[in-house]
Amino acid sequence: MAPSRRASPDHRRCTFEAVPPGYDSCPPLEAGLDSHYMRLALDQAHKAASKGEVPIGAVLAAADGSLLASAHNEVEATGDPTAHAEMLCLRRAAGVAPSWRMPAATLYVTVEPCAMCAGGALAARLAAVVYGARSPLMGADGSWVRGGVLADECQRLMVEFFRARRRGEVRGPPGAGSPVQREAS
Amino acid sequence: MCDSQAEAVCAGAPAPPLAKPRVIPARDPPTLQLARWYAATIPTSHGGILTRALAGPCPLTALHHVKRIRRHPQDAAALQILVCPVPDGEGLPEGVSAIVQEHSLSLSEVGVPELAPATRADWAGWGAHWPLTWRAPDPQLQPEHVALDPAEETAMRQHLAAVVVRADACGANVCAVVDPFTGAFVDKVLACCTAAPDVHPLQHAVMLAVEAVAAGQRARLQQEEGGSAQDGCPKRPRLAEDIMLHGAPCPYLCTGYDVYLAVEPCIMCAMALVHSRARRVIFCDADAAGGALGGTGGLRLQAERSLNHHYHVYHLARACGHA
Repeated sequence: MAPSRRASPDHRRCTFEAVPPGYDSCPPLEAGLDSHYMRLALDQAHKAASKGEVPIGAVLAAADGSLLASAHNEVEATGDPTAHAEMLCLRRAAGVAPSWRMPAATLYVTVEPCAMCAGGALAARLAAVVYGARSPLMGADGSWVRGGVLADECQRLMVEFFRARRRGEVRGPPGAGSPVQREAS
Repeated sequence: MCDSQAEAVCAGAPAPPLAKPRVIPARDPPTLQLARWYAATIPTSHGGILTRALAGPCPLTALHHVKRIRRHPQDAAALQILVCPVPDGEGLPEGVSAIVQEHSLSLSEVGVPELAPATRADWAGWGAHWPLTWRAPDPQLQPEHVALDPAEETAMRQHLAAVVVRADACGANVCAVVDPFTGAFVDKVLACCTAAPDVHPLQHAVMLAVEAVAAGQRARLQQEEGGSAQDGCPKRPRLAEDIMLHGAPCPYLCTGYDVYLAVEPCIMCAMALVHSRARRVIFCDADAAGGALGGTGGLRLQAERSLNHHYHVYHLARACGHA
């Protein structure tokens, strides 16, 4: 994570930014492929929003293009603060992939992963992580993480969700075991 | 996980002696560094005029803690005023040189403390170079927030020793989440992780412990509510650390809990503990390769100001003579 990244009061108000064009340091392998998987991740994010979860989705794609796992945030439902979409993807993929080392797999996530999820991706030896919207406060973007894929759409989903939640239009999942209230994942 | 095995193995194992708890602060306290500034000797009557005049061309923006004027050390009837930093090579800034000419000031070089002092003692000592204003520093650096009373320290040693004994028996890291208000292991959370290929890479001790706490809280809440699935969630206060004192079934995640670890956590585990709102993280062995809490002076996640929670970190190394 960038140690010098300081949060200004304005920063705090807008937590999820679109990545400016030309931001990513590594060129996308195939732009079409990236946005295809990001769409799948966005579908997961929409699913999360409909359940009152923080709308972040992730998919894990193998080198041959097959889908190893897909997940959305389940922090509210499980009361487990580590149940981020990325972590769930990595946990689920362990049952599908031949080994827990997944050096050819790429993780697609709608919002820049936090330090925990980036650490998890490192532990699983993933080839790459691709994210949509930036998260300046919590994000852990490093050189091997690629950002900005469908950024506007990913960002809009987050901004609209939290705007609705501040107005009290979104509530936690009905009948869930944990009544946690979270601001950001 | 190997709780039952560890129980058997370490039943009679002696606890390793631990050194005194060392707080790893988010930031190291500032040291005295002197910036070179030009000062001018002026009569007392000119103090106000020159302070206002210099505020425009040379404000003390980077030196909020420094006073512009001091009484002259040798001459009680005169003042010394800070004019501008000593420039590198070139002449004085334009606005400043105009003021210097107008008032025919003669400049001499002085040393000004560049960083604000963190303690009253530093403030008094550094003030000998140039007078400073006292501002309460970052609360994370305040000793009373991290100091332990003897009973707390004893409990901390006991918990950590238990964790270390268990970890030594397992040959893997162990994490215990402790509710300091009751002094008991919460939900008996104990987990070991091994790096064997058949074990999942994310099954670090911390991750298992956080998951186990969440599962325990889920079960307890369901029990409390008698399974009445209401529309939406009952609200729990987010940040109240004294919530346990008010009879709530459980706090928000691990709020107010202490986390004991045999080995310094990696970045994934350290961030998971931020998400969990842990109160303190206490570990024994520093990890130079992967540690994320500054055990060996590297990365310190607790120093990341942009995160939404910060815990205190204590390091109790093994006392000398023990590997």
